[in-house]
Amino acid sequence: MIEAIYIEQSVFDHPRSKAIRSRFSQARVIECQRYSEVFNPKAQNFRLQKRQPSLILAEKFKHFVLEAPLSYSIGSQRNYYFSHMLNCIYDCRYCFLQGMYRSANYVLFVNYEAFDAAIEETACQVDEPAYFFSGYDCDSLALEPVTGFIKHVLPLFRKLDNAWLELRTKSTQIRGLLDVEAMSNCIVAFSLTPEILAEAIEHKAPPLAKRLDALEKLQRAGWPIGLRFDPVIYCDNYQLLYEAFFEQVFARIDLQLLHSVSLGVFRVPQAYYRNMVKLYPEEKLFAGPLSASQPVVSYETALEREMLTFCRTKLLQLMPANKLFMCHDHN
Amino acid sequence: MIHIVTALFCEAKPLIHHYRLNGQQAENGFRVYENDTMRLIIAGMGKCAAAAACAYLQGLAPKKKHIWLNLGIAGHDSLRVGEAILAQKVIDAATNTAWYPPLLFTPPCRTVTLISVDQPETGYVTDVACDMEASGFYATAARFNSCELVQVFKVISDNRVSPVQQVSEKTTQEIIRQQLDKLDAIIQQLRELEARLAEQQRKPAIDFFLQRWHFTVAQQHMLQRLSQRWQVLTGTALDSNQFVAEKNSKAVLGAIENKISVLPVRFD
Repeated sequence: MIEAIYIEQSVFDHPRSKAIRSRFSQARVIECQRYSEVFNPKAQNFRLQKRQPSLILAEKFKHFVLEAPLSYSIGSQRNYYFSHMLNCIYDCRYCFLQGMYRSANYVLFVNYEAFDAAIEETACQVDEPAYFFSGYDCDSLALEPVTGFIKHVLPLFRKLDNAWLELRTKSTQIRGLLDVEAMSNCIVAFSLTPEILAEAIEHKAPPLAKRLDALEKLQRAGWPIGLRFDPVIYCDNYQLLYEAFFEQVFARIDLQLLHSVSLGVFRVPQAYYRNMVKLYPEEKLFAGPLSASQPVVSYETALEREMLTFCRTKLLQLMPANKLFMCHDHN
Repeated sequence: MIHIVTALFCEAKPLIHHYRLNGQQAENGFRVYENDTMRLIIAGMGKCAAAAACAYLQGLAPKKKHIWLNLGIAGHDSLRVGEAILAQKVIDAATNTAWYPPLLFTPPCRTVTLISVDQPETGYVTDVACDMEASGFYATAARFNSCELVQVFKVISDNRVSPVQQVSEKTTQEIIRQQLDKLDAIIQQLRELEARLAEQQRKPAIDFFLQRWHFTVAQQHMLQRLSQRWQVLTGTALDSNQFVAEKNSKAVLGAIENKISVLPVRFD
């Protein structure tokens, strides 16, 4: 439940701001000049704020579409991401957002049309398939009933021949997708983790079983499905855990509708990692065999290789190799 | 410790009685009253005085984190005299700088925008409360703790129908006294947040290690983190006796790391 909504002066009377205000009619409404006044001050505690995040409605002026690292590719040389929202309603302990941002408040940029223009312009500039990732700084679907962003942006992708949209999510908010005709160039990519790990570190996210149910419904409706086993988390029994988990997931998958699978171990930039440990020093994930001396903190090299090799081998017993993509952040 | 900053003695007096605060010897320019859990300072009027008072209070226990509250009276165009408010936005009128105290609890009173002015105002701005201290207070106190624990609580002393000229020391004391239950509720909520923050920032004890070996500051940080990891993975505190055979701090850190590297990591 949103108890406070901060709204930038310039979008105070924007139709989307008004709609969101009326949805949360009990919330305190506070006007601000720029969202950064609320979101960026140093002396804030992400962990405390995560108990009761506020919503900030803002206008974005530039950098609507940014290039994504090639290592995140799922089959294209042209990869881009955009963030209509900053922060997530879930509270996954491995998430880099908690190390990157000082505030746990959600920022929603309400000028969706500017995103449309930037996406269209970017897609038109390239003559090969371009992938647009929407779930980088937020979950693509989790707040969809409030934002309606995906409902807004899908028609744009319907008319773009060479543009693919990836919705990355742990959410079960799929009604908006089931209500419309499936799109061959929109991949609904579910982030999945073995149940025991999900319960321990993916706080507030839907349980694995619910995510698989949602995935299956979308698959039946004809939506291309992505599976994101990223991050793979180390624990003593990870081999047993992940082997059973992969089998559990693929028992629900129609390989024809499977667009891609990506695989990567837990990794996070050093500066974010330091913040994350400060926020959650008692977290088991951070007490494990991580190599913290590199620019990107991850498992020790030999262990990382062992985990990836094991998971890749198991996955290739269940799916074709051409749909599997490895995610690395090389130091 | 809760640090409360008021401008005037008449604002402070109901709190001094309610919380049984004892006056401290006035060695310097500020009058301070305190008990075991609370310290109150009478800053004088204006944002500079409020900022200075914050710095003074922090200086009394500089290494500690405190809850910060600015308590006082404020004017408002339409709210009734005696109504309590929490500031959801504090604006410094001179610079137009704004702060947004995050309220991570359900406030027991109305929340409003509060503008801090340099000179007493007789006019009223619609839907905005007006005082002379909050911006100085907030800008300074937010340097000393996370801003979720820095709040501004005011009681409306005047409005369009009951202008500022009618405010007296006696009425100020009375309207504040009547809102002490709300102040209590806010303090309780802030204490809960403070406890959560303290839990998050609690460091494991490494004193026994420091008595036995010499650790540089960087090594102390490494030792703290290794102790935390040990505690998380084993559920027990790291015992320095396990490492008595080690000759120096470097060897101790290496030995702890070796022990941690073979500890099981399980999430079930």
